[in-house]
Amino acid sequence: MNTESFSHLWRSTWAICRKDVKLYYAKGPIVVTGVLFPLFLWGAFYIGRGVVPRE
Amino acid sequence: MSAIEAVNLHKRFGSVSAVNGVSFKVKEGEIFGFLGPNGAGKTTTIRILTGILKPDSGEARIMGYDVHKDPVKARMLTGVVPEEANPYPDLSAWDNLMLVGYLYGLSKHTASERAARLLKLLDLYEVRERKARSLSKGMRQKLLVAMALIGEPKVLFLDEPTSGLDVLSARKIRSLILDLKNNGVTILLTTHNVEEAGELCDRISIINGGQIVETGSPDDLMIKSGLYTYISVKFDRQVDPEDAGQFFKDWEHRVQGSRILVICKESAEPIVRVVEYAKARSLSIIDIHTSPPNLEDVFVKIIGG
Repeated sequence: MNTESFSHLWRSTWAICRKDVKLYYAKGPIVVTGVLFPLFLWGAFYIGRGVVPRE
Repeated sequence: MSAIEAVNLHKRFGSVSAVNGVSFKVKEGEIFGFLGPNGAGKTTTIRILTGILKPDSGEARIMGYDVHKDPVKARMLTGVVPEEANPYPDLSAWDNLMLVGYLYGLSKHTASERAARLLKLLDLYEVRERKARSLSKGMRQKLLVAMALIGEPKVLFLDEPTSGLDVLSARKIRSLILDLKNNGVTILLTTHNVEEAGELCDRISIINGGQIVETGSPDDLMIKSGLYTYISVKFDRQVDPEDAGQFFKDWEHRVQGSRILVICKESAEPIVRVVEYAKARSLSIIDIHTSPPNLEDVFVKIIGG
């Protein structure tokens, strides 16, 4: 694959990614369940990792 | 080199043979029409030529590039207005056009310049920020045409581009098609509108049952069909039926009062004879008109057998 076709492929891929983000991923429910909720869970476990359970 | 070349294309869907040995060539800058009844194989042929479907056998080439062996090069030269497709409904008209522009490898500047020009040309500029889902069917169809043109393709496939459009929009699309032809774009057009095909196309192929049954210019098809032209002449006074019968004996004809109807396959000679007849008998021609067979008659005759 030459440089020109690689550049075209990259730009096309990027255009499709932007379209998909705009159409499908940058939506309230997707952001909440797909980004914020996993981040919150990860953060909760991360912060709570050093806590020793009380007997 | 032909702009579009189909060589012995075959495609089956289960037991149904959708395309059965279709071969044709389209010259650069030509408008080539594909006419046929529903299910004749028009859309399947276009899908093969645009690389959407792979044929069971045969070859499809665009500007010399094999559509299936060299798909990117072939597609970069091609624009398609499919029969059943929609722009992304949740993207605006502008974003739809820009997306296709980027897929054709255009820079942001070039894509936005062409998008603005095409939207203005097709009277969509005012609604460019509206989502495609909120556009009317005609507007969406025009947007599809704009999306096919943004890459400035050398070969354009139009699958029923004016279906569902109002008269003015259809006329605009037809005039755009002729402008594109004048700019050297090769166009393959399928339509159910036989008169439209006759008006736009340099050559027409009539396809039925997956096979091309006739190819030629609209005029050639009319001649090949063997249908008749009617010449109706009205003189300033009554005509002697016996005398007229003798004069026009080479053609089927009717004489009624001051009117003669001549039925012929080729109209030039009978018209000359009508003038000679009037001159020899000092008759004045009040009215003369010819009714050649129209393309719809030809289509029905060829498809109907």
